[in-house]
Amino acid sequence: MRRLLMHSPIAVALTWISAYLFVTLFPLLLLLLHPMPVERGFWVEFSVALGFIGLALMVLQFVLTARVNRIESSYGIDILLQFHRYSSVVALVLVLVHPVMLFITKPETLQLLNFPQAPWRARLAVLGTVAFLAMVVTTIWRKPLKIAYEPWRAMHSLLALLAVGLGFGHAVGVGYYLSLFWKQVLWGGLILVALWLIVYVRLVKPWLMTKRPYVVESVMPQRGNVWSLVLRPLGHEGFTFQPGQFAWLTLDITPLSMREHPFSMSSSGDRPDQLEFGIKALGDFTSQIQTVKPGTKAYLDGPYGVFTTERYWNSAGFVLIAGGVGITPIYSMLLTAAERHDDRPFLLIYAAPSWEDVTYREALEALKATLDLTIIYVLRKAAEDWSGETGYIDRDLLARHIPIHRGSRQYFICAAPAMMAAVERALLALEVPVTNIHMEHFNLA
Amino acid sequence: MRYTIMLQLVAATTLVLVLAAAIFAWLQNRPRLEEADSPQVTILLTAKVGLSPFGLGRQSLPS
Repeated sequence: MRRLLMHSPIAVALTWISAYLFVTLFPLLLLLLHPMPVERGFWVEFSVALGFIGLALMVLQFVLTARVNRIESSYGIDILLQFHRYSSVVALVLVLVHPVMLFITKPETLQLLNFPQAPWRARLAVLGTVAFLAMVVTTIWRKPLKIAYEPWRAMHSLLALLAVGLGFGHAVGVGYYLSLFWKQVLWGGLILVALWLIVYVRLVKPWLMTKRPYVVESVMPQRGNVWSLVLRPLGHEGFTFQPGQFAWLTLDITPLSMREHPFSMSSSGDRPDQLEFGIKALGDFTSQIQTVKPGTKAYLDGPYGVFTTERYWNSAGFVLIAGGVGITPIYSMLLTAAERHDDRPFLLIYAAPSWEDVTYREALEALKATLDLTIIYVLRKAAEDWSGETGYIDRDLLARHIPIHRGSRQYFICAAPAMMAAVERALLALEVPVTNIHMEHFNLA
Repeated sequence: MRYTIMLQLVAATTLVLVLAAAIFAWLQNRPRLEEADSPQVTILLTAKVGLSPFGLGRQSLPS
């Protein structure tokens, strides 16, 4: 898969899109294996088909969010979660259109909304739709609604299960297409897969993580209000990773608590015995990092991510563009490359508020001794005697430094979302091939 | 850029899903031959005109 992705990302994309369509439509095709029904009219059948597709899409969401390595390794978790967000909205629209179409074409079905009088199958549909709607609303507007991450995550899982379970109950209750036992078994199997995935992600996997604990060895301050959290595996060998990848970190509490946060490793990918994370004190959790005491227990779920130089073995070199704490995964790439005696050229363009805020500054300079590394610092506030670049990383600045043969390099951008978008636009304007630009967003919640 | 491409992909695949639903609805409501009294005749007629094997006779089911 990795080799195919390097040579033909379009082929991989087509494979996944075909799989997506197959998984969504196959359960509907099964419904065609049915005695010819009495004619109920095109719009009724169309509405029913949209309802079944909506239900299949809902089940698919459990697969997308289960952190399945084989799926994740094609595009990365951030892309998968974004696809999850978009396709969930599609599923919700289909589920809502299903009854609306019936109400318009057969107005007598509006009576099914009379909850106390309605048959159970209709009540299940109403409850399932309300659960689905509540799930989408509380996800899109979580921050304005001031719902904390952990209760939201628990509620999200519960509402997802309710929506799918009640939707399936409704389809069985109607008994038209799911009147045959074997169809109930097949569709019921899909629901059980969804249930198993959520139990696995929320309970089984965290429980397995408790069997592989880590201990905090040190918490060290770095420039730019960044803290290096160093973990050591406790009673096991730890894990190696591809430089640039990240892991979900749980500190000082059981991993079953759902309070986990994604952080990039900043250490060498080849050193499983000592994993280091660069964490900037920004939010509720990260601002507490400096108070973590050595000896604190930690748990890791990872490694994840496709934001790694390792996938591009044949690249002639790399252009790495970092902003602030975005240097963390990029530092890991450089450190690993230095340890492996990688002889390819690396160009690092690193934006920071000031010279004093350049995280890992001394360590980066030291890497020049073992690596073909050029570093361009871009400071927003520079001293008067500063002769380097200032301001922001824009098209003109990039044009001055990136190679003329744009496609000969792979470009990795890690920064705040606005900066990543601006740099990506600038690179595209400079005719860097879109397939050579790599980014990873960390807005995973 | 990546999210824009993805949005276009989601829109395109949604269109495919809606088209598939429309084809499903058409298949279930496609024009068919006059209903025959005898099941045997129905089977013969179905075989002769090449109707879907799923469409053998009609059946009244609860809606």
